[in-house]
Amino acid sequence: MGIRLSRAPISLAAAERSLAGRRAGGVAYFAGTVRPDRHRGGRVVALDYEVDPGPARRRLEAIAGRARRRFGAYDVLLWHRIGRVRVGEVAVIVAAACAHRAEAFAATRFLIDELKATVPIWKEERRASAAGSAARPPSARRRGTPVK
Amino acid sequence: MSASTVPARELLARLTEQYPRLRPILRSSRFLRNGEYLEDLAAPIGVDDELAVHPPYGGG
Repeated sequence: MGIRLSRAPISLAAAERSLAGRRAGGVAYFAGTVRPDRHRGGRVVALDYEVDPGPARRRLEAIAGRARRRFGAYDVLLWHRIGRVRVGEVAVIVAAACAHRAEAFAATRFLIDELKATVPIWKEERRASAAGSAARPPSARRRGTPVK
Repeated sequence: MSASTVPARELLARLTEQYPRLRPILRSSRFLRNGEYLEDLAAPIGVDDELAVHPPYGGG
């Protein structure tokens, strides 16, 4: 079971090596990447992710446990980037190793939906504007209280 | 002990009194005491406790 909140880049290749799927007949991976959206404030060049790490880890572990029980997953993986993630980079990877493809797809869908709805992670868009892409990284790293 | 605690609800009310613009955010937020989600806003918060406010999540 892989839970990871990572400041370093994450990759599907690393996820594949990490997942214990030997007994599985179906392994599904989902990777979420940063889109080059356009807004009034300019083109999005990166997302800055912030996390409340303790509660986030506990929630990720709870989601993993539920996926194992509900879909009979042999192994699941939930990885999320923290800090600055540039357009095109992978921000999140979830994966499930199950007996068959139907459970693997369903479990993967469950993992990403639950992660988005229940894990304390926030993102802020960084745009290419007058200030250029020299937008500053998140200023203060407060412990546990991401109140803005 | 009880003399030095305040229900979370009361603390949040004081906060919105001081910063009215927080009101809509707090309405859709989750709250944690020392890293544990609060089921009930009557939960007592002491001077050494950390009350975290989690606005809606945006992971993924």
